[in-house]
Amino acid sequence: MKKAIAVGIILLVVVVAITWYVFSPRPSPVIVGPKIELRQSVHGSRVPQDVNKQPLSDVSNPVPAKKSEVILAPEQTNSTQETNHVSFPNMTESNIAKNHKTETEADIQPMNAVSQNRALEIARGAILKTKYASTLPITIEDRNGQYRVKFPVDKSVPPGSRYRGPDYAAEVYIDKQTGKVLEVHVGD
Amino acid sequence: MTKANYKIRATSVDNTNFYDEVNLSVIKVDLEASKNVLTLKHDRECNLEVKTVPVDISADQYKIEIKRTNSATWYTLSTNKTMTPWLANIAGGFHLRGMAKIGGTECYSTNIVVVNQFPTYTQIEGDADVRSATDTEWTNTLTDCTETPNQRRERGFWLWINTSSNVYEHDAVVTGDWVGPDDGASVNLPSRPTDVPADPAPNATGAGYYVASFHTHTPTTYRTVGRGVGPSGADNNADTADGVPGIVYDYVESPAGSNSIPMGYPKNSAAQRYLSLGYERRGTP
Repeated sequence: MKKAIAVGIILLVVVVAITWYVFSPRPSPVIVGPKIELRQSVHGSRVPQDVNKQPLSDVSNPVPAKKSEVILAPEQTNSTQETNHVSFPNMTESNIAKNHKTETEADIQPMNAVSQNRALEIARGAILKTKYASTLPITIEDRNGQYRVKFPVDKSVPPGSRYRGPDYAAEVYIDKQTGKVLEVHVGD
Repeated sequence: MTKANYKIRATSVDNTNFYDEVNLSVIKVDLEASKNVLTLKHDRECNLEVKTVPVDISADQYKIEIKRTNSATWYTLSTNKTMTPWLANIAGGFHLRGMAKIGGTECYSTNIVVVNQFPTYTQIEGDADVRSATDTEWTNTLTDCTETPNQRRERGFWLWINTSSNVYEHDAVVTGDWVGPDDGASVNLPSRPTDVPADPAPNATGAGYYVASFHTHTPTTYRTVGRGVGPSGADNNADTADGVPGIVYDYVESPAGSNSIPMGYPKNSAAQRYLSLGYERRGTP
């Protein structure tokens, strides 16, 4: 009889232990790797027009964002990816600017676009030894998918005279996507 | 006017049997001009004639006078009945009038308006003397451009009309700095010089008027870069500031439609004069 009672207690303990093991909460696993920061795409026209019509305070019906940019660890390449996180509707640009980081020109360039600094390097190579007024600013215009890098010329003249000469020492047109030099103009 | 002579009878209101009579001749004086808009040098002849009605009336004296439209002072152009032609040698907007002295009375016409304007770019550029002078400086520009040393420079001058002799002349040639193959070339002309005299009388026989700038561009024969052709924005701005058309001597574009010439372009390739705006013509003072 005593033996039967002992076996019953052991079985009860085993059942309780199994039940506890099955239904008890467990700690989350640790993820090791670069920190990924999701940034809401809220700048300017990237906010859909129909979303803009909703009141700012209406957060009960959030609208999924179309696209977000992902800022990766410094050693990784900047890229974009589709996500399903939410954005709050009807945030005007001015509202957002107070609380969120504003995108820079470099942020919104298409993938693989040549940066302005790179365009300047390319342009310097393209004008060969053409001299320009190094004390004056070099201008870079970004339009129609091209950079126009303009190297200045000194137009200062003695009093009572008028400068008749080139508008620039040189200007270089560069394809913004490929970095290819499209045209080089030298003033005269 | 069909009737020039009238008899005027005045009857006494106290006694209607009495009256006095006076003969009245109505005389009209007109100044006729063959044109109202003239151009210095190129279209400067205008026939003027003082006409009276009746036409057979005998005048003791005639006079044709001129004044600037913004002045009250009249100047005598002629003491004859006609000027065939009157030469428009002074630029500006003027009033002209005729006078006939009849029976001791000076009878004046109404004023007519005449404008003497400066020539256009096309007229200046097409003038034989201008072409000769600018061709010479283009040739000199080509001569200045050498491979050893590798240098070149622009040349230019101010063009003016001597309305006394009715020819185009130019000031001393101005040369730009010598530049090497890696530099852009330019030339600094003085601001438009003052006319001589600065404010001539309307009836003066002539004056010197600065009407256009001129300068050359340089070859790319010994350069490693090509360039655009024709006036630059800075050229246009200078001529706009001076209020004149500019003439720029430069190569004809090559290839067609490129608006440029390539590096190493042969010196003696086709060249032409370009209009640098500025203005199509200097404004009338």
